[in-house]
Amino acid sequence: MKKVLIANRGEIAVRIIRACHDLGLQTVAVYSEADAEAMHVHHADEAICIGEPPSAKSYLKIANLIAACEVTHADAVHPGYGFLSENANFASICESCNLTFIGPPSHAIAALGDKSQAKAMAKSVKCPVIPGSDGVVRDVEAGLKEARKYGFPIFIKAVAGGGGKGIRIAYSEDDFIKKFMAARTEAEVSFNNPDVYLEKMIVNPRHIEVQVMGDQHGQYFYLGERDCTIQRRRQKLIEEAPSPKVSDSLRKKMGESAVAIVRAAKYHSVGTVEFLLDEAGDFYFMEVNTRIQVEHTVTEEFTGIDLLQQQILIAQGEKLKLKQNDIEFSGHVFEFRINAENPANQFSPSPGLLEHYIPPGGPHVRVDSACYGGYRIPPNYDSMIAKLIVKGRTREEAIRHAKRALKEFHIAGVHTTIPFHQFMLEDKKFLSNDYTINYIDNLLSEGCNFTR
Amino acid sequence: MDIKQIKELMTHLEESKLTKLIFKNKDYELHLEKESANLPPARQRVVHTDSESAFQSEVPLKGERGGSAKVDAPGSYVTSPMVGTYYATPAPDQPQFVKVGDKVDENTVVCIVEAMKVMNEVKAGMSGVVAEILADNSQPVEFGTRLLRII
Repeated sequence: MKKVLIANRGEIAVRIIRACHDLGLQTVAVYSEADAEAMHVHHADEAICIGEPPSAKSYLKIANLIAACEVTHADAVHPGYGFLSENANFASICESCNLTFIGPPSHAIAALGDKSQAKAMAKSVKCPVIPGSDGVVRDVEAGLKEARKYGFPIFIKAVAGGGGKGIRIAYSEDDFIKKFMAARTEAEVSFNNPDVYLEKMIVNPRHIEVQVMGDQHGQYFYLGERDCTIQRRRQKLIEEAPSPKVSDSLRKKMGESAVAIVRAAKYHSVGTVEFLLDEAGDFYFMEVNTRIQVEHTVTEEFTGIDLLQQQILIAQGEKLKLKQNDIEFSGHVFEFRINAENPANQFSPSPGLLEHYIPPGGPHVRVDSACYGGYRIPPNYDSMIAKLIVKGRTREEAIRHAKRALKEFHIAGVHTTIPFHQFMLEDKKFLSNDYTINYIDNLLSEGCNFTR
Repeated sequence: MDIKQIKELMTHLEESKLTKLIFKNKDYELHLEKESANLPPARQRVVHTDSESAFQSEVPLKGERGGSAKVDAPGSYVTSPMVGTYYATPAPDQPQFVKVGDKVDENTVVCIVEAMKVMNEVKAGMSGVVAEILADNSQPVEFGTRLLRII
């Protein structure tokens, strides 16, 4: 492998470029017309404009991405997260063009990307799953029959959904009848696939996901969990490791379950297996994310392992020189997503010019970002400004470091989620680990504007 | 002019966005021209639009693509609709699609941009006369690269 084309933008494109350069590989950035001044374009060795601002005309335009590889003689593609990263068709096209796709094989993306197939795979390796329909539910009558089995409330989820979208909750039989058709219509419009499945709603769960990794020589590893329970409308805001609710033995059990699932799918590369943890401490498989994730940084700081470098080595066919017993979990790590959103106004998006951007620094602090003072955040993509990752020897120490870092983070020109994080770091329930997946949404519906 | 001065001029040309430099005095004329076989690295890349306006307006670039050029020569540009390799002729041994001075209309094929062995014909999309051909045969092009100027 000599030259990697990064089929993405923003902070993850910068992260990938850094890992490539760490390994002595050359890099090609692609950009839409809205991203001509983006950081990833500045850092890469070469850059190609691939289309107009809308993602469908640029970052999702497979023909232009492959052509960009052709004209620059790139021999590998890293898809990042979002965009085409979990598009089995794109992975397959790269494979047939002799481009190394830095990610899982296309058959594994297809198998695990289909949520009902993934659930079946989890069941096959004796991993506990959330009670729900065995596959797609095609009509309201069949749906009602299933729903009565598991009881209400029940989730109606799009088979091809993702990123927290394509999900409805039915609270009663009448509610179910109404929402079933609406869910199918929304799924058709958003994901080109109307198929839905049903899942019992686990009440008051925590979201615990396990980072896994496998090479092309049959070695698999788990790298511990991340607790991502602080979410607003299923969009993560704060992630931490270790989870305050996961003991050493539970970590091992969940890790081994996660590995068993990806091994059964003949997976290689990095990936994440998501679980729900209920109040009784039982875990249930939710889904697999067959890509590098936004919050990979938390695991990197928790274990000291560079996941992007490992991902590239795996794609190069390296046999990883790692043993599960050598993987150490140390300290306590938080990631705070700093988005261009206004927490005092329902997190409404706030794109625009960053008049000032002064990130924090010093020990225990890491900032992954593609922003700089004077940069104009385009309205066409996500609202992420930066990821602030903070570490301490204990949760309390990490929180102290986080308060200091957030205080130093000076951003002017757009609204940011910094006040939200500062609010949470003083919140009694957050500090005492007494919250579940609905906490933030409940605060919002009570009129909380995250200021004191 | 001695060899040292010529070398200096070459360095300046290399570092600038220019591709051609002509120096004339009463004794001699010096022509320096840059090879543009490869796409320039990111730092020397030509930015086609004023970057401020690219961010400020909601629908900035569609309007500017077909419209008249801002600071430079008169007329409008035919720009590449995709990433690939520019060809001025339908096949290696055939004449160019158009030359400077040719009349074109909306549907006149002015060049080919090839990617993955697929030849994509690019049409002028406007009526006028070919004033300038900006791309070189078999040059790699990106989305938006200026190929021809039509007046």
